Amino acid sequence: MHSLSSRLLLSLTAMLVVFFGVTIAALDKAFKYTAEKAMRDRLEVQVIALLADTEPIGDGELGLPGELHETRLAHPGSGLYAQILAAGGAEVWRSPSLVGDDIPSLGDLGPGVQQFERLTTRLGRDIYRLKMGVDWVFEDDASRRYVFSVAEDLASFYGQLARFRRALFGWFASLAALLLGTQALILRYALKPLRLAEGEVQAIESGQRELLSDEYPKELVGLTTNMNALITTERARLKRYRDTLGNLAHSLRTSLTILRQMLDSGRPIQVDVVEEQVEQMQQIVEHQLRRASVVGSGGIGARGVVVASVVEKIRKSLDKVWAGQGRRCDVEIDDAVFYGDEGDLMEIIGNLLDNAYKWGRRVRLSACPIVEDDRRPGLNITVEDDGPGIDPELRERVFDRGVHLDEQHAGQGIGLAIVREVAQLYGATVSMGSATLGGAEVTVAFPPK
Amino acid sequence: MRLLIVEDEQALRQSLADDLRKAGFVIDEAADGDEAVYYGLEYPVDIAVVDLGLPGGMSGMDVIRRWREAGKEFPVLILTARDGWKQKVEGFETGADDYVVKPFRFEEVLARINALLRRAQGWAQPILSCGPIVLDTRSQEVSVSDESITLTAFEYRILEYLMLRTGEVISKTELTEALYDQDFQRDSNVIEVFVGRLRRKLDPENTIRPIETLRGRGYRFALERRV
Repeated sequence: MHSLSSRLLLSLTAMLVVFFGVTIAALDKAFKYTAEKAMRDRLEVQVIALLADTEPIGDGELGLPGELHETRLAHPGSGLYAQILAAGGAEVWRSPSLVGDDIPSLGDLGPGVQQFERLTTRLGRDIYRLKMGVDWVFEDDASRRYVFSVAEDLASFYGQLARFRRALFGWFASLAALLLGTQALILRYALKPLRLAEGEVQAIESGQRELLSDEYPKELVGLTTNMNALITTERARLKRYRDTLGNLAHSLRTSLTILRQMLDSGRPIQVDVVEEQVEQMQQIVEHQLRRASVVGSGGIGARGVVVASVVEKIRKSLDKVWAGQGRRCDVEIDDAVFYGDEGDLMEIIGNLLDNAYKWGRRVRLSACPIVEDDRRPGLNITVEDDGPGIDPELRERVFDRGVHLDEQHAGQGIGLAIVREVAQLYGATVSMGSATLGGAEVTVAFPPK
Repeated sequence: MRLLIVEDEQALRQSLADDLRKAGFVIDEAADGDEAVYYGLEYPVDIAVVDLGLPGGMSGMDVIRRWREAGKEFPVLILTARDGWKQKVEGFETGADDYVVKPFRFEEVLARINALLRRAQGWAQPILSCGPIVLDTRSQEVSVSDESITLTAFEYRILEYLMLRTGEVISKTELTEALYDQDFQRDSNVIEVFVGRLRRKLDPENTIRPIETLRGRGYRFALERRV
């Protein structure tokens, strides 16, 4: 399910069904219990009234007058039935309303003991019956046990229950519909900022807007701010690519023109000129393409990169290249994280260590975070070697492209230049000094943001 | 030494093969990944030069990975047009031993190949010294007790092969495969003739005895390395 509104509405509907279902069941049960209790109370009153109407007749038996207080007992099928049973279940008297039907009699009861039960008559009528045991003392002081019973047909009870349930369901269904309707309106209002964002993104894509506006609820501000940062970075990268291609074309054309003219002139090929132009084109290509490939700060890859793992990979690679030549690299990393592209970090550390391995036998790399208030920590990376070091007057020149101060080591002298170019894109500074190991020390400091 | 070149660009592969043959290597060539894997697994390759950007489904990295998974440990020099550190590290983690970025100078490639071959046999420096015999792998000059000795190209290659593996028994077959192209008519007696000549040039008085013949097994360079 891909719609937020649908998910929310479905969740609310499910919740309402459960909540209302439980409520309806509870109310229904409560009503039924109350109605049954009321019926029992009514039947108890009827039993007492029956007792009051009963009087002894000749031969030590009990009887009732022709007219009873409860007139329904006199009408057949009225729904109210009464019996007086002697000990052992023999019927002494039954109400005229019970004509043609029988109620199962179930045992004696002690004096004053009541029993309330649900039964079915012989003719299939569902009834509730209240029985009470009575010890009747006659004039001759003889006492005999009787059971007085009054039963009521459940038809009216069921009817009452059905009416209650219809009303209950009706009201709750209406309430649920009202709640769902209200919820849909609320959702529409609450999700309005998302529709606004969608519209603004479309406007950015069609060139009508530069960035997303800042009029969003605080829950979306984080998202829109990051999206704006991403848009800005990608625009800058696109511009860098375009500039690179433009610079590349412009720079290469000069060298190509020189070579073209040499070929077209018919004169003998001057190898030193070809060599010089090839070297130039190679440097231009490397420099411009490297600038284009650097991600820089705030890019898509701007996540926390663990410095220690990058250093370890590069150290292993350099140890392989310099195997058997007595190089040793010590690493002191203090929980450092680089917030940027992993490839950019690899360029910085790779070129710094590569340079140190070339000049010295012992190399040390240390990295630690630069913590400042609540800002995202910066990073300090220092690489030292025990080589000959570099004269202070020449320290700035080593960062220039194509400059390498000693012919013994292979390379085109662009390693430290790359370090500075990448660092600058992150607003970092690069400095060179004298190492405690005796050689050169290069430090790259990324500021906190 | 037997060297495998894996490069899909024919002109570059041809040019590199020609230059390396002139430098004394026996060359096998592969133009794609499948061919490269086959050569690496089936031939007695001493070192491979692999272009990472191969066409088709198998890249240079995949080729190196397959070799290493099969237990092949010969050194590998990768040629790459992408000189970012991420690609270099990936190459090393896959099993390469060194890299050269295109475009390259042949001298740099040759120097790295020789360095890898020495390192593979435990030699850190370009000069091999065993007893009074000194062999400079860069200039290909040989001296005995500081006196320069002139060797033919084959004599030099045999001596270099044996000195790099000083103390190891090298069979005639191994020596033949390392020194001859596959379509060259080989005769094991030629090796014996060259070894005999080499012995006479290095040790005319028969006092040093640098090369031992182990009957039925092969040859062994008997002098110990000088550190």
